[in-house]
Amino acid sequence: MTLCDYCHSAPATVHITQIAHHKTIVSHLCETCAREQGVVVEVGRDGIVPEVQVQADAQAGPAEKEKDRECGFCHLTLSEFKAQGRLGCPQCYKEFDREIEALLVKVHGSAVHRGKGHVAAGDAGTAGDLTRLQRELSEAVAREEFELAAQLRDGIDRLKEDSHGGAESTEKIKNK
Amino acid sequence: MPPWLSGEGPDADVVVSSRVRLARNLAQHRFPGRASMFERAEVFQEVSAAFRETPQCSSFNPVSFSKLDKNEQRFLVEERLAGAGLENAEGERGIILDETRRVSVMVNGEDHLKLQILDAGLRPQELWGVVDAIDDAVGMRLTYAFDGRSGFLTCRPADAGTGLRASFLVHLPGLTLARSVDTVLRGAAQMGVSARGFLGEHSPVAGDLYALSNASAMGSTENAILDNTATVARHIAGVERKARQRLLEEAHLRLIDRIQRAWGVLCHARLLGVNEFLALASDLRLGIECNLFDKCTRSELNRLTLFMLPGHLRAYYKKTMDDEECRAARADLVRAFFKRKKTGKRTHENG
Repeated sequence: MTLCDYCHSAPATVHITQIAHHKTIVSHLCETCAREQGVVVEVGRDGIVPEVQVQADAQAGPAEKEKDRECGFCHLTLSEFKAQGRLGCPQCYKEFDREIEALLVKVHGSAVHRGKGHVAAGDAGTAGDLTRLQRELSEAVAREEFELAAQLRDGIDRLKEDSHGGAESTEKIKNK
Repeated sequence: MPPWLSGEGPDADVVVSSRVRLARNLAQHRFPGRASMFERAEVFQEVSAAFRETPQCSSFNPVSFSKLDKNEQRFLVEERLAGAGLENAEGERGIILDETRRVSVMVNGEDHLKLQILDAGLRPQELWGVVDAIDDAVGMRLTYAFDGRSGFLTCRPADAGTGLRASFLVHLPGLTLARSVDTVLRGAAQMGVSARGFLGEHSPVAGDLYALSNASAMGSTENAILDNTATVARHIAGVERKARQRLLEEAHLRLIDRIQRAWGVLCHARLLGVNEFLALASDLRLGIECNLFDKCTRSELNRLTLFMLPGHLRAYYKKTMDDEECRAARADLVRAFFKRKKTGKRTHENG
């Protein structure tokens, strides 16, 4: 049985759903505390107290604290990142991508990398060619030579299909 | 002595040195500030092994920075082979140096790796060529944290993208005396080039020395960032030369007086603080560039300046000293240096 959120002693028989700032907050009150909070409760003929739905205005009602997001790998929270300006691990870039993108646009005017690429260790056979092609692709995009860039992109895709089938470099031309 | 002190290279009359730095992290590890001691040690081993296996880096020497005492750490920071970020970080940190002391790799500062090359004069493309090749070669043995949209991922998002910081140390006494430095640096900021003191991110400006570097690492290619920063530095060097020329034409005697007074204080002072030395040395350096002072060369003055910094001073005298003892020791070293120059005796390698 749920106890009253206010007095924590009487059973909660009035359930209030508040909607404020696009968030839904449900409170459970006993009859006495509900009256004291100014909630008008009409008991139905069968004695059952109905759920009261209260549409709060922008200023009214306690707002529940926004759930702090956390990186699954290093457990850095969004509020920690906002306080110190530093991330905890590479996975944070995925977890907090909206906030980081906004920050990058604010600081750099751009959130898109146009420089050299990187081929992970293990892709040794095509590593040199891939790095060179990725660099040439970035430079062609920067010079707005899109026909050349498309050819380079195709070359990179072919090389990647031979190794592991990724196509991350095509993001660069798609983002232009 | 690291090569950046040589006083040589293009535009060396204004540009003391050039530095190109790349920030990199390993994909499967937490950044150093969030990693355990064990994880940091793992990263250092992985990075050291990658350098050992890379043919052009096999002679590089990895050293545990965290095992050095505070003064030895300061010594490397003063030589600009380590950054203040490495000094201030905690836990297992390393530094990998090449035998020429042009290239240094900082491990487990704010990021897993900061790959840096530093040399005298204005030479961005040459330095970029070296560090880019090392980055590619070592990067084939490591899996960097990278994604196609955000580029190389760094602890601070502001450094992400290319992870590149190109900086040029410039000496601007002419513009300072003409009271135009702030205007010029504001113009540089509008071109995406920021200015700070020469001993790092939070150091104050001293000795009319400014480190000019790219404000942004994202949104352009590495070559574009380098070219832009170097072009601004070159332009500022030109403006500084014009300011010096105007001083020579319009205030010749006042300039000579200023230089001679600085030399007089340095030859006779019994107590000398770092900032006071830097201010006086700036006048001597201006004198050298304007051919009004010939008691020492540019490179000798650079080396003497290094030994004025606390870590080098304590290493030279081989003892710990409090603030007043440092100021006295500094003054003694400077007087001895200029006395040797006066009598024509050869200066020692260590100034």
